[in-house]
Amino acid sequence: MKNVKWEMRNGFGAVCLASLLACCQSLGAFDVVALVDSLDFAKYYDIETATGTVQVLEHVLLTHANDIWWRDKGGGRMRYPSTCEMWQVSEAPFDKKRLPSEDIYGYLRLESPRGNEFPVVREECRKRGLGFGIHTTIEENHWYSPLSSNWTLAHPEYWSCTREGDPWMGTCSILYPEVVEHKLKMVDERLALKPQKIMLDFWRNGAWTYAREYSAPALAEWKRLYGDEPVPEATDPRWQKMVGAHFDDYLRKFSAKCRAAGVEFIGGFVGIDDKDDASLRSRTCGFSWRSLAKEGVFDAVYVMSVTYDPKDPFGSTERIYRNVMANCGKAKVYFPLASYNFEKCGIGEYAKLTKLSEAEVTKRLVKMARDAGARGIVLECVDYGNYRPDVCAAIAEAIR
Amino acid sequence: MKRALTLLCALVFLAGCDRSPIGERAVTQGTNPAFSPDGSRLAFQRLDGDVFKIGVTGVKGGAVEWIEEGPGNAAYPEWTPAGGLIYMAGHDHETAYEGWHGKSKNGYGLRLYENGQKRTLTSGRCRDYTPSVSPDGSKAYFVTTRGVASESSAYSKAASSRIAEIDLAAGGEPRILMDSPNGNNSGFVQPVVSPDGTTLLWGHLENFFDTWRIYGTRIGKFGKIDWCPVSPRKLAALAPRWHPNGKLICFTGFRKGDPGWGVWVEEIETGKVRRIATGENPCFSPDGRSLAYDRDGVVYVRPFTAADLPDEILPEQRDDDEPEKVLWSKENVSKETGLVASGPQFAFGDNTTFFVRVKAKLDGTQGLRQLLIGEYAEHEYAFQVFANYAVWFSTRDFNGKYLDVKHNDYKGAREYTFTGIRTPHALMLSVDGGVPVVSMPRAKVLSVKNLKRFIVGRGLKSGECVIKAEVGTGWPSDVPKFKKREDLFK
Repeated sequence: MKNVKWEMRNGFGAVCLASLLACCQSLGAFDVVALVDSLDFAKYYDIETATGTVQVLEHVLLTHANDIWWRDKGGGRMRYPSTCEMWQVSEAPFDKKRLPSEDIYGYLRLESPRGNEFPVVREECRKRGLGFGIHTTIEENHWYSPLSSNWTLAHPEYWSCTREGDPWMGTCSILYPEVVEHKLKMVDERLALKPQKIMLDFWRNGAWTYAREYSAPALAEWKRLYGDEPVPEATDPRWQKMVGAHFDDYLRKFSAKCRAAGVEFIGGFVGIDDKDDASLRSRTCGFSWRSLAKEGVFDAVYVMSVTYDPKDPFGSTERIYRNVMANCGKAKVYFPLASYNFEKCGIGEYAKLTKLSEAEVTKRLVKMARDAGARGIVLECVDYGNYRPDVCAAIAEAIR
Repeated sequence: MKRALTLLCALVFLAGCDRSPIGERAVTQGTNPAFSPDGSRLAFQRLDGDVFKIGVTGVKGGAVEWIEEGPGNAAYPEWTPAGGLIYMAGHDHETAYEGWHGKSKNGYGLRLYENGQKRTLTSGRCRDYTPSVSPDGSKAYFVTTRGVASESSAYSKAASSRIAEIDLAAGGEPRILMDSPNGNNSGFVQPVVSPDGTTLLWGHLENFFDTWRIYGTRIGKFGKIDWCPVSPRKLAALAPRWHPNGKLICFTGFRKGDPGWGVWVEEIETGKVRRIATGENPCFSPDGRSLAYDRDGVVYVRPFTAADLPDEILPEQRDDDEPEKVLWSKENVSKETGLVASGPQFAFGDNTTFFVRVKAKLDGTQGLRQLLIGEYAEHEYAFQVFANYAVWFSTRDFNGKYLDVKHNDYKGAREYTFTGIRTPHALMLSVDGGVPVVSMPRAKVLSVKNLKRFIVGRGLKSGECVIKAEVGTGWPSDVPKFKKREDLFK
């Protein structure tokens, strides 16, 4: 029964895809981006095989996406054979520092050749005329210890640390040059996968916060800047700015590598409002995305969620969209069309507040993004069956 | 070719580094060394390509006798008193999907190698690893994933791992002794029994925001309230092994400022520590005069002398040192009541331990009841105890982000006592004076200074009431304290 259903769905998907491609040609460029985390499909398809990977892609295309941003890591575990992150056999039970997981994810051979989906996805996207990008994240753990980064577990000397001096194995401190160097080597690895774009997601930050950036170089830098003044609480704007400057530096280098390779660099941020940078600075890593967008560090910005006014969800969302468009310099902008209600910004939440159907909300949000001049919308994220058929149909209609 | 070059480099390295100024001597390529009972040999594991195999060599190196060479992997060798080897082995070669859908029963189990014969002790689609053997040779203790729920959510309350024992002679089903305390983000590794057979130590990860520590309990006392941390909070510490005198342990550790993972030694009764080398997975020789450990894939041996004895006590702050002091209370509230209170005593910094205790008569059904809310200028929900299909104690981090601890013991109509505790290191919640559930260790919590009011009884249903609501500092008298190091050695 399940197979029949799937064949029907896949057939439907193929028809939709053909009509979608026709639509795109007539439209010019309005992207419908699907963020794809193949781990979310691991129980449904054998994602450690090329066949399973293609099945995932075909399922994703039921949403009418025309640009695929494939996740390159689960927390800190890479989805391709990584030289930077692989040493020995890093999964449980071979590394004592890594917690085991009995779920299917705990048995995937991450970082091994078996798990390398990227050549398959890239080729399939090429054959089908789809965009192909990489969705990567700033996090090193996904708030889940079994997905901690190999490199982080192996290098406590670079761990982040609280103001009280307690080291934490969840993340490394960006203030260590060695950490930045490691991260930049991983940019090279991603570029070798030949994506058209790389989106760096700051929402999935694995509890990264400047409250745990009291590493040795951070303390030394504070002393250099402020002499004997006591090291402040993390809420001190000077501390946030100091930490943020190191993210600026890392992001500029990340951007330069992408530019040299002819790959677009996209920053993804949550909780965007129509105010200044202060609120955002406190939610991410201390840097100003607007400044970096204006500077040209980001070729595009993905607004992952907005802090709209629940009393006027569409009106306030539209104001925020236009404010973003006016403050991004030459950077292109993507707006969200989220199935899940992360950050209370999902289609369902808008539907609840406006009493409209999810299909109607979908059409409104897509139109709003187009009217604001966005380059596209992003489906955050496409999992197994989470975009309902009526919503998928509404997407198709809205981009027609 | 690449492998040959690697091997050549390693051999050159081994030859060149035969003995360092501190007496460190490279023995062989490998990790996780273990001294044989007579001290003459070392068992170890070696990564060959992408396969771990187990070998035995002399303490001065030399020829390797391979015990397990595949197919599949073998790791974590440990000797029995009689000279046998117990280790983890398995050949899990199917895809995860095949395993998940029941097409594979392969996992990693325990094997015993004795007198040239191998015996499978445990098997199945699970991981049994880091075994050790009791001093009398009758039992093995190990970490296992058998029987844990297969949920991957970071918010799952299901254990990630357990500690189990098995009789080496009789075999049979392992007995589960302990469950990891806080769901999938907590777990155990490498349980080891003291030379006198009385005390079990293990590597312990309490929660996502914590870092590995070494915990201990008395053999037979496996309830969570009997566990206690024995390594200092300022250290990341795991993989303990006992010195034959039963007074010292060595372990893999890290303290802020160290160049990397190190070999640490601790005097177990006093908590004095010392870092003595860069490396991991240390173990003492049977005479206690040598240490073996690994670094960068090479096994080393070095002397252990009086100069290596621990001499430093790291500052330790316990969360339950201060006694209970009730600052505010209100009785018999059957509908939402806002109670204005103020004063400096209600300023709770991020270094303060405070508690809220609510005794309430509830019908146990679903539906939100916010039993006690602390509304502050800094945040309208600075903390609260609330019930729905379970009960929670929540607070905020320094950025105002929600943090909570959940307790599932909320079923049926009756009187309940919920006690939420916020310490500088954790959120805890006890129901009816039971062992508290612990969450969010080391989260940077919100400092609150300006109390606006306490709100009691929001959402109470007909017939329900808050019998007594209290707020205070210190450790609440109705909640049992966790064991201390001195309790372990009484």
